[in-house]
Amino acid sequence: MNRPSCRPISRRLPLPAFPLVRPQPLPLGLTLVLTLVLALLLTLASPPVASAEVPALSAVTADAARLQTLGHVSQRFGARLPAAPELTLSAAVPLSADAAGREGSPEPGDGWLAAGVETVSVAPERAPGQPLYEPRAAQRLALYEIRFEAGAEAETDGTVSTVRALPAPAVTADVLRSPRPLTRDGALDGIAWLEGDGLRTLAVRFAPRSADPGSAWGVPETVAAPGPGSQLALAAAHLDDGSTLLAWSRFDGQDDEIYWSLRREGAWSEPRSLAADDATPDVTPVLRAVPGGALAAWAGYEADGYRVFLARWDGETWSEPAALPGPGSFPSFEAVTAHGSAGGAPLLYRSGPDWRVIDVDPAGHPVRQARLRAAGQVRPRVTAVDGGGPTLGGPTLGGPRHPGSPLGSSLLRWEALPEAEAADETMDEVVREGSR
Amino acid sequence: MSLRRPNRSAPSALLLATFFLAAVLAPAAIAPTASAQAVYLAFGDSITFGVGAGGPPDGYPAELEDLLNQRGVNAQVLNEGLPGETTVDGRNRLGGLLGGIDVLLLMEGTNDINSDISPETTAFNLDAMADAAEARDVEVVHATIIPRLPSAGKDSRNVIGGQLSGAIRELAHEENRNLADPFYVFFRGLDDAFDRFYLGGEDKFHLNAEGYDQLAEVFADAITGEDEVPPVTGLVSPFDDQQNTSPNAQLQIDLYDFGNGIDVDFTQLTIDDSPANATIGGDSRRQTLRVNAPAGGWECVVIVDLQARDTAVPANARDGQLVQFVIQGTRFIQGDITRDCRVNGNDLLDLARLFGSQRGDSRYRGFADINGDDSIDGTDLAILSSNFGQSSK
Repeated sequence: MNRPSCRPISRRLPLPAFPLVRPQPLPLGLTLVLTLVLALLLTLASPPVASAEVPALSAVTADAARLQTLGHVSQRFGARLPAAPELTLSAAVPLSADAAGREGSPEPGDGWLAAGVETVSVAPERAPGQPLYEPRAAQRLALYEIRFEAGAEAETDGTVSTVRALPAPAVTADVLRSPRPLTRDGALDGIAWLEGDGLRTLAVRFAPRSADPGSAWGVPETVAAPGPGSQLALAAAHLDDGSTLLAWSRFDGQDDEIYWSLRREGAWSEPRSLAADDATPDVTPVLRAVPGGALAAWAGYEADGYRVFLARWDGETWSEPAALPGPGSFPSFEAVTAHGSAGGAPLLYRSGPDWRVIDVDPAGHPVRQARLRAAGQVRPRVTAVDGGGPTLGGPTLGGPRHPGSPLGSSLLRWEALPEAEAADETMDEVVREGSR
Repeated sequence: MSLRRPNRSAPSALLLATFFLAAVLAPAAIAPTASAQAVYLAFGDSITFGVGAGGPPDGYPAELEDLLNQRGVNAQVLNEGLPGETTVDGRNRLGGLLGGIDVLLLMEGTNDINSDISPETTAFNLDAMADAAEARDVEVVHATIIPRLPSAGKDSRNVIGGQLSGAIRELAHEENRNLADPFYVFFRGLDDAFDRFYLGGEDKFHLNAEGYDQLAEVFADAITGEDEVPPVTGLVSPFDDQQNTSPNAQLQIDLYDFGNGIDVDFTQLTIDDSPANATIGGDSRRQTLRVNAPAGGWECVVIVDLQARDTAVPANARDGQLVQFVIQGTRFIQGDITRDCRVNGNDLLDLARLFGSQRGDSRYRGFADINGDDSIDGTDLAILSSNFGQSSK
């Protein structure tokens, strides 16, 4: 067992049963005045930058998914999905470039690609004179195209017009997990997934779209064979140089590390660890393509807790991972594509009792931050970003519930990042702030 | 708490001697004296919070406080359960909560299974949390997780949950920390636990009020040193429900006891109803059992039963199936309901027992619905009959 090196932690004030902060409400009149003043200041102060409200599909339960458009407003359309109780959708990506990049509310025809895993019964062939063998329960990949029609008002939900099953790579296995569909120029272009005999023996696999017009999919490729333990949390991204990047957490015999592999000209590179092996866990990676490369973020253990680390792929090498402010876990690059002056990617992560958004520029440098304080466990989404700050909405369907969570839609203000010395903020400091 | 106690036998002189020796050697139960109030921090996720029981003050911590005070332990038990939390976030949250705490009750990890966190990392996080507590002179009681209902979407057979619980037992043993073992109690120790002590319905994870009372008893027993749990398993390889197992795989089982100790002469493995020739090493706190594959390798499905007991008086014993794994290349003939690679009278008996049931009935079992039409009926009987006497070994 690896022993973390834990430094002493000073005494802190005890927290209430819930680390939630409920600010005293202001009088209505004062609130209105302050809101107007704030709006005026924001209008004057913000540079004329692009803003986007990007709808997203959260597909998280066995028979239902949710299309989330503006803030916390959402549309459940479980009845429209196929009646397949063994189907679990787990990922969704915009299917057309227009849907991802356009300002404002979704328009007719916007589409999403939902990927999942379904359990099926595979009947064996019967040989003459042999007994009839049982069908084998197995899993296979499932892909659905979901088209959306906007609501009558910009602030309301639209409806789902089409749910269409798409051909998926013909793969069956005892366990399939984490299908990650990839699109290029708005079209489905490949899919990566984990596959094996059991959850501890998963291989990393990938199938490209076939160049043969008569066949939808190319032959599945093995990116990484099963390792000495778990391979989990697969992330995938197409890069603008035509390559495909995968990252995942892999138990290396001692602890979990972030491994990666790059597909260039049809061949995968040998899986390698993204950062130096530190004998403490690195988990839950996410990827984001940026001009000239990609960004990777993940949660890594350091000294007395988890922090979020960020590294940039420049097409040849990874930069030295940098720790982002505060404690951190479960990072995600949000779906918002046009935002702010930085032109990079908003990175959302849990930071103690808070949710923190870091504005990352394409060179992989954190530019500024915003914090939603004491917001509980329910994961929000970044629904829009502009020069003033990000808007967070939530909760998403099926996410963990935190009783009393006030999360609806919150406009946050960008703040300067802490200085280098102060950036080494411990989890205790954040917990203490949340308990005030 | 009233657990199943199969094969309870009268203690022999040797047993009594072992009991007294184990009682001296076992780590002292964490039960401060009645005069000084001890503050216990119940830390974890929604199970600790008490989802299903209405949350604090109705989860297990409040009941545990009552139980401890009834047993003469002057205790205050604080509830720091946070629904949905993984051990990654738990490690980040715990640091600010340890001030003024005497004992940490640490039960977390079930959300890790749904969040792409490996059992190895979960065990690391739990150890890191325990280290942080011990660095501040806070004693630690580890706890295994609560098993989930068979209708759960992920890990419905509790394979990962069982492995994680094994890793937590191993961690507690290695670090000489106390352990409460609700996974064993709810998975194997209590009759009909899934029907009696769970919310059920759409909820696949949480206990009902009676379940939380039982959970409080599990913790109270661990804290006051009342031994109600027989020897439990850590590492088991091949693991339960493993598919495509190598025919030459060595069977290895680590056995732990966190109470009075294992009755080392009583442990017995049975493989496919025959006594196994196991090499057994270790002591009363931990035993390791190994069985090599037979000449020619394992075939079909291997069913391993474990018989073990501790040195408590009366003894806590277990006697039943431990793991079942499927060997590479195995195919099952239709009608092989008992999964022994042959269709015979045992399959017919099982089918007769379930005959006439339909999906949704309490008597319905999918494994006997041979043609998968949601009804166990004459069609299934006809398929079984057509393959009667066939063997796939």
